[in-house]
Amino acid sequence: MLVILRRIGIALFTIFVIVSLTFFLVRKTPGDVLQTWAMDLVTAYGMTYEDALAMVKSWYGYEADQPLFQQYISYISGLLKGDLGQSFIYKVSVNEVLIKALPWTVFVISISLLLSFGIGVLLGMAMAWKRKSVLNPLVTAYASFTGATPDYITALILLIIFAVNLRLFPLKGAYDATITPGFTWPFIKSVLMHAALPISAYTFEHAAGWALAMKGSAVGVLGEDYIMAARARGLKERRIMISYMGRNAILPLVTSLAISVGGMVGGSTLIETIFSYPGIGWFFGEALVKRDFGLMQGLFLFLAASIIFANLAADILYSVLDPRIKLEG
Amino acid sequence: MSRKLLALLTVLTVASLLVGCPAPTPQVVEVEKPVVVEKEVVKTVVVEKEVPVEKVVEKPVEKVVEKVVVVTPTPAPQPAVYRAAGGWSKPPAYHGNRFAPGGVGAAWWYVFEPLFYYVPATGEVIPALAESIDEGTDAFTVKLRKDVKWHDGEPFTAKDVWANFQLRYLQRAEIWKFLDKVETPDDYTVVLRWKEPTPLAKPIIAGEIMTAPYHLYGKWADKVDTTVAPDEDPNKGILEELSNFKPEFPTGTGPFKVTTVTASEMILDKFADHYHADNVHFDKVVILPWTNNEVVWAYLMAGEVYRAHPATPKDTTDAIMARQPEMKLALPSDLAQFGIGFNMRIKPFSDENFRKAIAHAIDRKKLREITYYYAGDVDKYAHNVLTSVEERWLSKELLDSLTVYDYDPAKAEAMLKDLGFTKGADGNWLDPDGNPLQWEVNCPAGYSDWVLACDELAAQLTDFGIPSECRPIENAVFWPQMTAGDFQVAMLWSAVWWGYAHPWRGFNRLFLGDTGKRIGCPPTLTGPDGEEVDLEELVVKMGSTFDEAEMKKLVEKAAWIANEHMLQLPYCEKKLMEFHNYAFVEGWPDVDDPLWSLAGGGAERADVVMMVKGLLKPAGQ
Amino acid sequence: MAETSFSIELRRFLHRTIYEPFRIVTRDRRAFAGLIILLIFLLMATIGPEVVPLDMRSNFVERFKPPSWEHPLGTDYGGRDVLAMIIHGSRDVLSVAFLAALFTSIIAVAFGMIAGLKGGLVDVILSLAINAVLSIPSFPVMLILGSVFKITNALTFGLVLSIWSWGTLARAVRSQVLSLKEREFIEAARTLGLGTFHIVFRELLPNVMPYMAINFVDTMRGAIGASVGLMFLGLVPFSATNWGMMLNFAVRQAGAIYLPQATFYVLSPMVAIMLLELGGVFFAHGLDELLNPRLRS
Repeated sequence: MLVILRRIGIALFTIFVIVSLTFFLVRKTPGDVLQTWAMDLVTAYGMTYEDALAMVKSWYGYEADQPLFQQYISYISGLLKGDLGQSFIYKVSVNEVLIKALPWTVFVISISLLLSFGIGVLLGMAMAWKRKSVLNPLVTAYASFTGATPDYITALILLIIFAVNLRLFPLKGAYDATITPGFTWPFIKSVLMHAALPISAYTFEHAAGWALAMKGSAVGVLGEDYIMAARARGLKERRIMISYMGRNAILPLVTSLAISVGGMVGGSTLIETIFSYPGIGWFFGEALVKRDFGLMQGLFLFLAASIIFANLAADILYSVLDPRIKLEG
Repeated sequence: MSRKLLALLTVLTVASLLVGCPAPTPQVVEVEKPVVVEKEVVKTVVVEKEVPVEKVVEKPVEKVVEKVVVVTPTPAPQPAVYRAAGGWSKPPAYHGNRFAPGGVGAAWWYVFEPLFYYVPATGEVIPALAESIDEGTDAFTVKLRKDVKWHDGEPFTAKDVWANFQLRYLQRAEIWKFLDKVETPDDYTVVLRWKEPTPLAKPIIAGEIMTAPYHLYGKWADKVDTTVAPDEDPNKGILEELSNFKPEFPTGTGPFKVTTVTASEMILDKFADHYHADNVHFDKVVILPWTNNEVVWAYLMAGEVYRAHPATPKDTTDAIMARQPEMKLALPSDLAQFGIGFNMRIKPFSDENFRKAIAHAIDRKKLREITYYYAGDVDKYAHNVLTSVEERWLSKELLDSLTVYDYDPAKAEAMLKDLGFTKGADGNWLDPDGNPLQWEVNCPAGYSDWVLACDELAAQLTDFGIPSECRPIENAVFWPQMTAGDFQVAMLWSAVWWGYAHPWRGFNRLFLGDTGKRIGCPPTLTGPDGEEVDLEELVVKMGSTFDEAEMKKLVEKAAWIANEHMLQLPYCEKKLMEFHNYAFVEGWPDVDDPLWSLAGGGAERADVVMMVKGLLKPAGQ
Repeated sequence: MAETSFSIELRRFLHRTIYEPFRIVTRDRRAFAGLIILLIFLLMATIGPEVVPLDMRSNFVERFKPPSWEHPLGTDYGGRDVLAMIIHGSRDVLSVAFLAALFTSIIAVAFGMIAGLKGGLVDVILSLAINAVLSIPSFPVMLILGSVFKITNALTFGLVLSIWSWGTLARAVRSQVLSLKEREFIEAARTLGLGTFHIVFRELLPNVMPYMAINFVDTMRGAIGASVGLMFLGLVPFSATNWGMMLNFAVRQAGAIYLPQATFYVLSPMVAIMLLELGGVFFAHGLDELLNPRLRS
């Protein structure tokens, strides 16, 4: 128990270090947003460039006066109160952004992760167990294909086939805007229909990757004595595959999964651009491109915390999965 | 392994392969077939409806009253929806205050109106909130319509116009360079008093949208002090307060008002009390998010969007047209040119004869083909006047007197040799000191069409004998780097006339403004008569001359200077590719109609004007 | 002439280090196929550009032509030969991807092994570094790096690509090491007094290898995609023959997804990358058998 507390303490310290690093890092990023932003406005609103530039300058006035260290202190003290800060440009609190935009991202990505991980791991185990079977080259070919196809191409193709040509699924959005949100069947059905394409794209793209990784890890385990011994003892093949090989081989994958789960908070640009799905990725992108320090800090803090705690959970999970591993603090 | 597991895994594998198999080849089949099917369906519906429903129903009802009375279960009239694409800040960053960042978004032209619209191609004025205008020398008087209401029901009066201009002062709006004050002698008259009269009054005023109703923004407008700089007190504090004002939706006077904003959709409903509401035949406008071009192409093909203007290469345009046979394409100018800039601060670019030589070595037509097929050709001159309005501003005499920079590599070679350049053993050029030439061509990484052009230019230059590399730079880093003069060759905007089509805009930027600063334009250059011309003076005069003939002379002078000193090499004139689909909306003006030029700088602006004039209606009505 | 003991020894040595492994790896059909594929790529990268001419001048009329004798894989949006572009791009693509994967693997293994093996404070510090690399976004880091030094050759390119991407692998290695270090053979090795060096290289590394091998190919493939990102950030000069960039332009700029006639143009870089991964994984399959004798049937 004490160990876990110590680990949590270390995690918090890590977050603090990373937050501080990010604070100073983002301010060192080169580039001047104003001109680019002005150009964007000109094409959208038909104003003259001079007008747009002046307007953008008037919007971008922030934190120019306080010395850097003072800003840092006020930022940290705000954090301790649970305030993740404010977007300098949009003047919304980061907390509000997270509450409004995050749930959809989490919904879609967690389902996608679960599906792709589950399918991948099962496939990978089968591939390692039956090294000579046809499953191996088949899945490897599938994996290579999805690996070579960048996410956005897969998604775009799915969009074209199922939304433009076949019209089986909706093109965009999280749910039909005419249905009021609530725990009603029409709403849930709409949500699922709208999530079908993004989840399919994600799963199709990533399942094979998990499969290959699992296979690689499992193959390493296969040569072990206990496998041979289990066989000699006459245990059922399936039991050996899952309980002996699977459990031992899944360890490095749990690591990656934890990182993916933690990283889920960063949103998926793919899903949001191709399927116009609401999510937090848009805000991450805006923060970076517009050099919105407030938004950047808040969002990336949340992301870092998410990843670090996911890793901590993974570490704790190891000691559960593999009793030989001591949870060290 | 048990059979069951094997079977399950096989099924899973096969299933995932089937689901996932994108197989581009089947797509070939898909694209062909539905074209035929859809066409039939649409035509049928249209035919049916073309027999005016009212007539068909009325007659039978008159005779057959007793019988099947319920012949008229006309399905509740489908709301006439207009579907477009655009961008906006996602909630919770979205709000309705245009004075703070993140507001309004794509709804802009649908909810707000200017006093009048100015058609760039013809100079025509289309009244909107103004009933009549009187252009005097010291003041510009506008008489407002008396039947205009804001979306929340309040009447629109002169005080609202005054408030708008007051707040625009805080944003350093360009109009305030010329404006002294805004007077409101009565509720429906506005007098814009100039401190510096300008011949460009009409287009500048047409660019000001009325976005600040006094009953919402009055408390800030009242406090603005136009005698003090916008970043000094009390103005500074007002701006800060103003940027914290976050109404849920914008309040405007336009024919539509915003009712729903989500991350995936923006829905506007018709504003029933609009003064031209009778002309507007649409009940709803639905705007889809414009995430990137590929997705918008998909929307256009699927008929999810009736109108959009993505920059599209030729073949994809053909594919969209094939998929939606009733789609048409208008190509109004976007009032800008894509161009190549040389850093005149460094050798050898500082020598204008060198620049001229190189200009002959570049095949501008090829650049256009690769980058933006539908753009206008600019392959003769470099005079910084948009080709689409060249006739209006430049006389034939002047054009004849200008050097033509056609693609002639032999000529380029000869000119270089004259300057002392020689060709080395490897076929590459050496400067008069014997040093090899090696260049880097930069462009903003986010403009993918410019990246293509950049790469093509680098290939052309390399082929000519000057090994060049294309290096895109992240947008936010690119512009400041160019302004700092840290480049050799770069893809830049050339003649940019954004806002309204007047050469003054373009020359202002080329000689004095950001473009000039980037290429290192000197303060004076020799004019057509051999005299040294002060460029700033020239531009200022151009912007303040009321005499048309005089103005034209100044423009011609500036054009001569830009061309003969080869300041910048444009290679195409950007055209907005206005896709519009007759299958869903009809009444569009002909593709050559000057009304389309309103789209330059705000595609929806053209839409709204067309709607308010009563031109656009849902197809089949 | 009788065989000297030296030549016998030499023959045995060569047999053991080259011939035997080769035989083991290639006995499996798949591994052999993988090896062939990789050799073809190697050939393509080394002598391909010398043999096949590349004309990057654009020819709009010739765009999107179907495969023919003149253009075995058709032409791109500018009328340029796709096969020539793939072959010319292979040199940079493969060398950069290989180096990136190499650096990533080395850094990740180093961090992961030491963190897992040593534990305690060392683990805490190294894990902090790993977490930092995982959670701090690469975008600002890359921009800052780019403003500090210029990438001029494949070595620096590979280094920059790997510098922020080794986090996940490091953690995976660490978790494997955590599990392995409690094992009997490690205890035995310790008891026998075999040093850390021996434990790391002769006991732990071979067990981690199969996972690393597959991950290596994966990282290579990821590096190709990431190099496109670096080009768009302006850290490296634009290369129109980079497979990832060809794909990006095909979809984004040329809208090739919507054009049946552009199928070969879109598929070519994808298939090239796919074959690379396929070859790598198949070959790794054979490597498994080499490193883990129990798997040999």
